[in-house]
Amino acid sequence: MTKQRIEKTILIVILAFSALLAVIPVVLMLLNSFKTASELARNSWGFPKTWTFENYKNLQTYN
Amino acid sequence: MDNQRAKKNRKWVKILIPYFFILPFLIAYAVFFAYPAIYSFVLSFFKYKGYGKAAFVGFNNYIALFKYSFFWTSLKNTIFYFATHFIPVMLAAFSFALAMHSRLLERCQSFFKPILFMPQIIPTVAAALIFKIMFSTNTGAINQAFGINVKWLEDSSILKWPVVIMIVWRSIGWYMVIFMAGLTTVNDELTDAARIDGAGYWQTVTKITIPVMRPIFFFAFVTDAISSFKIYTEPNILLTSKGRGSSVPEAQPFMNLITNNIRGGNFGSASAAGWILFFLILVISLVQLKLMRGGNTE
Repeated sequence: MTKQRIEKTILIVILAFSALLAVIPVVLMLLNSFKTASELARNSWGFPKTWTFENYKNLQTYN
Repeated sequence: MDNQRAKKNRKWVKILIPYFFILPFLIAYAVFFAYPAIYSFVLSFFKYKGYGKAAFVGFNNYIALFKYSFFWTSLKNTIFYFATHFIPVMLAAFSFALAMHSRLLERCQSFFKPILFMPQIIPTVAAALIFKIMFSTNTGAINQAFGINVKWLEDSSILKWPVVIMIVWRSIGWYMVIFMAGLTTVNDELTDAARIDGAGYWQTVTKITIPVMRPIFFFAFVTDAISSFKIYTEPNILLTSKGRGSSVPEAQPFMNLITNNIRGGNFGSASAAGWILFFLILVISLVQLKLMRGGNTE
């Protein structure tokens, strides 16, 4: 590994970590949109156990 | 005689025609900016409830505000939000801009650039709500992920930090783009000449890039100061809970002083607070202008 390769790897690792931090809230918002309200309270971190599209359906009739 | 008058008229028409073309803007500016600004300035010397007769009170609105303890709390909070987010945002944004500009990342930059900018395109209210889900005590994502039980949004000693984290998260992408635009104004000939003379990467950055980018830094610092003195949405949405009904007074920014006064029907006080905020922003901007100019040796 040349010096440049090492520098490039370090830079990409740092950037990937920052990008992860930037993206987590957005991904969380997306994942949480598939959870029911009671599941959101118990499990606001991670994937929904049962995927529900109710939230999107309710939006169409929301006023 | 008639001929002379016609000539005079034509001269006036010539002067007025350009103003006619910008008339739509002028009308909107006068109706929606100049008139309300002047009106609020006049109102700041009156006691006015929104109806009935306005009573002239001189500087009493201003004096009452300076004696009001919440004025100082909210001012302190606004300055806290500004002071804590400023250095991390500017450092991170400038480093990211440098990274995106460097030759090390050739194709990867088109992958990282949009991701780092993404927080900026999320509406502030939606972002504040998702941060509320992340930081809430029993149902919060952070507490659940790490198995801890920190009262992020309730403990009055730390509840301002989630707000700061959110501001940092949101602003980095924006200033990164501004600094990236600034980096393209740095002439490659200058940096190449420095490289040939034996300067290392960091020497080129500190001795050439940063001094050349001074106007861009000034622009970024001033716009950041202005927008963070007008901060309102982030702390108020993040720190409002069902139990409390409104956000905690110990963490409310200066803008709450204005909205509280409007809600209470004290339009005079609200105007006075608005003008105090205006002068604060003016002073901050002028101080920054002075500091940035002062160091200029060119």
